[in-house]
Amino acid sequence: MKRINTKLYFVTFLTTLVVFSAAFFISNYINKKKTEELKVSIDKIAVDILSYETQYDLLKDSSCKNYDGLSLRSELDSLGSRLDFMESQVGEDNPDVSRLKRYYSILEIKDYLLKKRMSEGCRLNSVLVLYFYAEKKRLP
Amino acid sequence: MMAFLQTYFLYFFMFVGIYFEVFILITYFINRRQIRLDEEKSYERETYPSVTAVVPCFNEEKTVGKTIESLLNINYPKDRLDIIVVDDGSKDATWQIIQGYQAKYPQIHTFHKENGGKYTALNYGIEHAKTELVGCLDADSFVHPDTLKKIVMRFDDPETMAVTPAMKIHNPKTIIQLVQSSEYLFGILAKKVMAILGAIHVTPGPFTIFRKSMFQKIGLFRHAHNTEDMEIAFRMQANHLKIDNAHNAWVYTTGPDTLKKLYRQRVRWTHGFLENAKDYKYLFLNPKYGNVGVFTLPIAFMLIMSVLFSVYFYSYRIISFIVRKIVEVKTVGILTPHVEFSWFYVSTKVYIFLAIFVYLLMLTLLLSAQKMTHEKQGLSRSVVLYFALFPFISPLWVLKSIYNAVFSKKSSWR
Repeated sequence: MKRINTKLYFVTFLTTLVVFSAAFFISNYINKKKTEELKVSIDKIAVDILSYETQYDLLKDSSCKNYDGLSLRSELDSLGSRLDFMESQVGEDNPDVSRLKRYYSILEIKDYLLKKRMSEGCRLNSVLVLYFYAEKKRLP
Repeated sequence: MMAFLQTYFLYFFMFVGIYFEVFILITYFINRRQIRLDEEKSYERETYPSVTAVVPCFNEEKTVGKTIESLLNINYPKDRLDIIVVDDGSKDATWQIIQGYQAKYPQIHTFHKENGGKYTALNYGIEHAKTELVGCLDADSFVHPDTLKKIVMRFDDPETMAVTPAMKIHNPKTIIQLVQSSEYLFGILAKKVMAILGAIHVTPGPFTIFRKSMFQKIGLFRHAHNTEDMEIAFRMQANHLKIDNAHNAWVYTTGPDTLKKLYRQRVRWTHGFLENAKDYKYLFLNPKYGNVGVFTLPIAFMLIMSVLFSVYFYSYRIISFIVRKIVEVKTVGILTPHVEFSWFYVSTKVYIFLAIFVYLLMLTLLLSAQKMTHEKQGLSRSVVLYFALFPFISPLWVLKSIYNAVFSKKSSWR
């Protein structure tokens, strides 16, 4: 009977640990990059909303033709869906994603308020609804 | 808690899978030079030990002729090779065909008996053998002319009690056979590594050669859940008897050509493993039995369990997704989905990278196996099909085998 080569088992164990660590490292690195990408996206939308608000304050009715609510909506949709995906990747408890989600909720409210304001000021015929929902178990 | 347990088990099983692959790879690379030197040794001898090849057959009228022809064409002294063909109560023309061969070739001896299963036919042949070495060749397998000499040279070591050959799929045509072709190629490498570690747990039916005296020590083949070739290897390991491997001794077998046939064969093998594992549970994690006790058997069992877990894991995820969507639709109705194609949506979870490493290590093992067996190297159709299909079809027979083992159901031979 061949003797058990404990060194071989140990080296294999260490190599497997290295492979595992590499997987954790790569995953964390890419997820961090993705979260940073989301932060950039949030900043951009925040600046867009602020610029529309400022334009409206400055130019009143004449800013109506520059208002592109659809493009803002599409960016917010994309952000929402990316945040949702990111949450599924790193988990609900990830502090970075939780913070970005709070930011996102505020941006949604700001977008709603801006739309409401533009709708009234520019006499746009639109119905505005703002809602949030969550699974029961995730409610505080 | 549930999510934590799922993640814990997922990482545990992936660790086991990667550990297995790394273990095989490291052992192969450490011994690569020795394997090559072994292969370069001449297998020609002044004198050769006498060998009996037993061919058990049951309704094999289509293939038995080819099997006998391949034995007759073996490059081995005719006076040192006996061929015993045992008809295990066939209902077709098998008996007439084998009698025709007996009339033409004096080294062929034929026997007819009541049907009792493959192992009874095999034992019948072994009991009638008068040679130092004895082996079996299934009627759906064929041997390369130099195979026997390459196997016999490994009996130079008096401690060697059995030598397993290198199994290849004969002329793979269907998708299912191509998948098996790569699987068998990996099997050749894995078996060599296990032989180096003294940890082989199956002596395949097709052309494993045994020292006849070994059967006097531990007895003949037993009825063992339709996997007698596995049980005898377990028994040999339990008795500390050496099983070697000749990785360049080719034996070609006709792999099942449809998924249904493959499923039946693999249910028999996997269920057989689980039942034999139950019968020989004292070998598990027992260092007294060397690497077979602490590596081969526990890892084989864990790999079966990992398939079971992966079925649960993916089913749970799919069902959870469906339930979530139903709740979403019930709450806010059907919304126009936001469609966006972006690299952002490629999953970067840890287990995805672990799965990539599992595949890369498996690819390295397959390429090493191609090199070791002098096959054309690269991503052949067979390799691609193996990667694309095997992980999805293997759960079919693993689930059924576990079901059979838990509820004491029998697996059929065919």
